[in-house]
Amino acid sequence: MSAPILQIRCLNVAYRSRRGRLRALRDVHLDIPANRIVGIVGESGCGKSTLISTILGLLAPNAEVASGGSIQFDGLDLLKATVADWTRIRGPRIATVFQDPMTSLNPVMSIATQMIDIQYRTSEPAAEKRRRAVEMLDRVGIPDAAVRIDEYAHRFSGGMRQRIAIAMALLMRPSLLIADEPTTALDVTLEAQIVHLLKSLKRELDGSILFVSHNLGLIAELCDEVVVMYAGEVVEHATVRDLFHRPRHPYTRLLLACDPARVAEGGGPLQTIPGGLPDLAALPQGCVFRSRCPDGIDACQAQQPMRPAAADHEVRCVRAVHHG
Amino acid sequence: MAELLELDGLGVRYRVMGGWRALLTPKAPRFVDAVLDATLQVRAGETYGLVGESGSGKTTLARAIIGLVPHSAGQVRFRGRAIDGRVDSAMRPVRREIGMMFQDPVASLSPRKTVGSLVVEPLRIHGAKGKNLAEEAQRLIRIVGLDAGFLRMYPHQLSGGQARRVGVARALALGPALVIADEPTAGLDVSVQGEVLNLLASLRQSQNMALLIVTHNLPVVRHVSDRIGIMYLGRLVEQGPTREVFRKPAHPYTAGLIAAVPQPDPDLRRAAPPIEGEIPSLRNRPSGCEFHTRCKFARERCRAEAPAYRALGDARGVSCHFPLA
Repeated sequence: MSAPILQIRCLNVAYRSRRGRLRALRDVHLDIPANRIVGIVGESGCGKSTLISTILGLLAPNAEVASGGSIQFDGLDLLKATVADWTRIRGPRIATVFQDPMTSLNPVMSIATQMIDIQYRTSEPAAEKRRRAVEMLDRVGIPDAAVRIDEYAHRFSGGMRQRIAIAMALLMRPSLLIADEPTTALDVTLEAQIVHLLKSLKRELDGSILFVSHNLGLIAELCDEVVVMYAGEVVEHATVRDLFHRPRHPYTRLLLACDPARVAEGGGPLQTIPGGLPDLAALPQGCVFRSRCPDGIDACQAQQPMRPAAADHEVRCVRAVHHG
Repeated sequence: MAELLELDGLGVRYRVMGGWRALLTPKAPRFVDAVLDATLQVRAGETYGLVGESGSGKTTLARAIIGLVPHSAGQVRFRGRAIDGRVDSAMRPVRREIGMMFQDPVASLSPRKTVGSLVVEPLRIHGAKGKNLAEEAQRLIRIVGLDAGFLRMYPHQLSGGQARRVGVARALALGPALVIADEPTAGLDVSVQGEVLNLLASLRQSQNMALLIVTHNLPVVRHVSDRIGIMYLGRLVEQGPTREVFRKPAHPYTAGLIAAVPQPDPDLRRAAPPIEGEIPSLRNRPSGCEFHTRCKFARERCRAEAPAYRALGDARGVSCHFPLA
């Protein structure tokens, strides 16, 4: 594997709240290698959004990042980045596509104006910037891009808007694209189109993608490696085939079993995971999944670190390592 | 089996432009047909899954059944008797027998009422004679697997899955023969999704009711329904037993829709998206077969002539000139 372009070490984030400190991310270590698609999967409350906000330096004011952690990117610790650093990084180096494209498209500016504006750092004639924008729109499959670039966001369908958002994100050729549930608002036929688009763009653009989703099928379809998060911790990290064919963590195994796309015609009841998430303000001792885990043992009462279980496969479970 | 609900050529038409704007642009269409010529039957005790993408008219169809939107053509029959959504007094007895679960469970619950008063609201409206409301609330909340403590809570204190359960309890309050569930699992995590579906499946058996599930989620429909119907641009393009339709889809749209669901297995990746293009606008329906703009198999005839819905064997039907099965 090549050197990682993003390296997260020992990241702990907590939110101050009336109920005390909510420990939203604990002990996160994560490498994103160059030219790879890394998927993050987890249910609501697992810390996906906090992780992305931390990488992008967009945490809420009541968030506290514990000292001792670091996020290395481009020879810089993002946790210590200054405003000037962020202007250099956000956009040209790390770009983002969100779930709802209307949050990233300006409704009162034409697509052309927006796509020319975001190239403000390059000193080229506007005509050249426009040409590049049209080329990018063409690439993401906007029909008639040279004409439609002068239209406003509301004139495009949801799928087209998401394509435009992707074109804007990739216009400056970032080395990391963060895609946060980019297809959740789309229909399944459009979802398949967007996923294929991301895949083919990645081949051309020579960057990495951090793909966040709760949809296991999409993760399997698109990603090279997968990170599973639960209640603020990374519980498993493996290559995509290993994760889907040989999941080690009991949570991963149950999550895969729950997916109705796995079971063909029904009859029998669907698998569920009884119980709920632990309270992040008063975390239990030991493994966070212990209260819902079907095969817990005494050793689970101790805090578990991430441990290698096989080549390129790490898991935070005492049993998974020994029993494979 | 007896037909509980029958839709016969149902159509729903929305006005898109009226008043002075219509006078200024005399050529623009005045109406869109959100549902066109929908014919389907739901039998007592069965689960019927109505599938389609956004804008396919599935929610409008569900709402037209209980008269929340008036239909412009065709007929809805419940237990063999025609019901007309436009006459409120005629709808009341029918609404006792058809429970409805709305899409967004939190938004469909009044934030100012407790769960206890929400679940018995249908009883209060329809005049439950000789029933102790407090006891009924206890019974209903227990049926959906919550404990009595929830009765004192307000909707904002519930999780998504719990709010969904309260929605189920409300739909069940009057002991309906049919429950219509609009996107019962949208927005839920997979581990909770199963809980809601298992609950609906077990209630269908214990309460002996039929279920009409409206959703865009194919794996869910495949798991819970006995028969399914696929909608495209307001029309039912294919119907049949779930197992058969998934095994051998007849309409190219059905086949594409099934193939578009990503499989949770990296060895089953697809080389290309199964359906290209986007759903056309309802204001500008394509000529001939309305799917021809996206269909891989479209021929000359598909562009010119609209296919009629026809039977395919005894249990299936499709509207396609050149069905795949």
